[in-house]
Amino acid sequence: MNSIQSFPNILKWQEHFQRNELRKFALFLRRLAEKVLLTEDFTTKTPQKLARLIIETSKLLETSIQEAPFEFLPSIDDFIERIAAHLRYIERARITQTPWSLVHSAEYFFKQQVGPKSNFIIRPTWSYNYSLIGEFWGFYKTVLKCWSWFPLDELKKKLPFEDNETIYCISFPRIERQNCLLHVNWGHELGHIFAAKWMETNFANMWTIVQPEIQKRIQDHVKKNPPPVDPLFKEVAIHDSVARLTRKTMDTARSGLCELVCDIIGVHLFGPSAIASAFEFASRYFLDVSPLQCHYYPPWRYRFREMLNYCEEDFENHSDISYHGSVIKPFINWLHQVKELTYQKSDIQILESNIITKEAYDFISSKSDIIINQVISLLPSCSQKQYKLHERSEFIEKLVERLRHGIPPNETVNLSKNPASLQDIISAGWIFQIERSSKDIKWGKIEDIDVLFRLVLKACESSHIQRIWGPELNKKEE
Amino acid sequence: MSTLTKEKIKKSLNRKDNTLIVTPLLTESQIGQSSIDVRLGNQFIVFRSHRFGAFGPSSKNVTEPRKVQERQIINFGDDFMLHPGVLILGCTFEYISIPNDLECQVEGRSSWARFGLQVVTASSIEPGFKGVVTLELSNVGTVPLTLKPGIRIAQLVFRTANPPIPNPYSGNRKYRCPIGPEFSRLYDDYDWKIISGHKISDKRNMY
Repeated sequence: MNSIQSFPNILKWQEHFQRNELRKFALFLRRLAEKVLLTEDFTTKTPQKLARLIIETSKLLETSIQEAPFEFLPSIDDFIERIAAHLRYIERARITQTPWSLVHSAEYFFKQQVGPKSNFIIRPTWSYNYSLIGEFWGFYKTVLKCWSWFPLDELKKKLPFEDNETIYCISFPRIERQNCLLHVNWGHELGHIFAAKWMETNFANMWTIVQPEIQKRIQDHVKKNPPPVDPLFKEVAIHDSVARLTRKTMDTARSGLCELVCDIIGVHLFGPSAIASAFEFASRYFLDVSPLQCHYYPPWRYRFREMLNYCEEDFENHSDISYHGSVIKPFINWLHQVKELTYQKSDIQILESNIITKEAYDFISSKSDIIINQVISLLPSCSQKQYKLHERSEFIEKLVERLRHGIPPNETVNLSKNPASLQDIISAGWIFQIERSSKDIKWGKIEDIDVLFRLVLKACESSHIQRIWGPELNKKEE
Repeated sequence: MSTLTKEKIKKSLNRKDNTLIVTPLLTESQIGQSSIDVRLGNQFIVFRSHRFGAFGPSSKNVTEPRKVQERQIINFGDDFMLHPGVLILGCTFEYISIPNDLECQVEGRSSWARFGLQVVTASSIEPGFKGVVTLELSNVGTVPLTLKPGIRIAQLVFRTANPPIPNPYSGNRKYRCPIGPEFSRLYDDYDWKIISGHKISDKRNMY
């Protein structure tokens, strides 16, 4: 009672209490993050970077909350709650939780695409999905910049990374940890960074040009199928309905386009392996679900059609392509079977049965080629060229041969100075898996798959270490 | 049975068929006069000695190796401290595949042995073996040793197997294409079950 009496104003007392609570939250968060950091068993340095960001931010919040105006307290509370949730990305990125043999080479590959200042946390999630989260540092800066009382410059000085670095988190389904071949889906997730860049600057402009026509067609449609209201309100109801449908059409087009562009980026970077992994991932779902019933995701059949079209050169009978021997052929035949699935147009029928999806996907199909080219131009020059299986077939066949003999496909001969790339290793893994299962119905037991995953994972690790250390060690030797 | 010298090792590494595979060899200097130096991998198996009393084929003891040992993975370039009197399982970074006309011996390097590091391994690796080699590393010296994945830790000495084995390492194999140190599979010994006198948990098959 005494302490309350020392505050003349109950509001002041409440404010004091609230500040203390927030300070306590910040302190607890800092301690938790410090504890996580102490484990030191992360595959890369990126989870530690995020942990340090949380620690330093909470430390400064602890001391600066006193300076914050009262009306900022709810937003501080919200911010602490949000960054506390970021701890789970760090906790799950511990070495035993990840396919660690793959993580280094994957992050190396991602950095090549997004830039050397980008950092990636790879962590499992219990939901059966792949996703990209972030960018974290950008989020912190955006919020903290608005708080003039927060010493943002001091925070920047304390961080173990530069101001222009970025931190993303890529998730994969926990249950598929070992399934390195499925993780080609990371290519799609990486695509989201580029798709978001394009969307941010171009989508609105492009949509503004086509919107009047789309709105006109939606209006005609609504007029033909007016909402069941009193004639007195008919015009208003039609107007409302047109606005709502147009808005939803835009959302459907934007999300659909984004997903399709990401699919194409996946194929661009990894070739037909990206189709194989998307197909495996989608195998548990219906192929023709309307985007309106599926969080605006395009139907899988539509997605496969687009992906297959993008790498058509790899599996159609072009006179200049010859696959040596028969190692790759079963994989090519398998792709043809996927293609056959796309001959059926049931997804198109679903899309055309609704004015929203029809207009959205008419827009997508008319613009996708231009947009894909523009998004691909955002990739670094080393990745502008599409990864084509048929151009790598001779090398990949040798890698597949190694898998057949129970040897990791990280190089083709002993003492090679040319370790296989991540894309080549993954392609070899897919080709081997499909070839084996097509030729031997007994193949595919859990032990067989397990050995395949282990060999591919070991290859990813070996080729990465060889690429990083090999040149330097050899230089010293010379 | 004769030991392969540098020239013969190189020949075996370059054969078109029935090749000796040691991958990746980061530098050619790993091939010595009569051996190949191999590097330390980044997976280890350590004892959880605070969790059990004894291990062995008795119903009173723990019979499941995974209960008494656990896998630890560290990054290449990071330190692994091996304290005096401690035994751990490590593995080679290189994945090896032994052709049917060779057998292999894994030996420690004298440079490390002088500091007390013993690399005790199953004395010979059979023709046809594929995988990384599990190394039983122990520090019999008096000072802690800092091991780093990637350092040269042991050497492989090859001998010819005469006549070559027609179906090498086939049949019911205990260890299939391992890429890290393997837990002991003593329980796979046909007599283990009889001697231990109790049912072995199915968990042993979990990877």
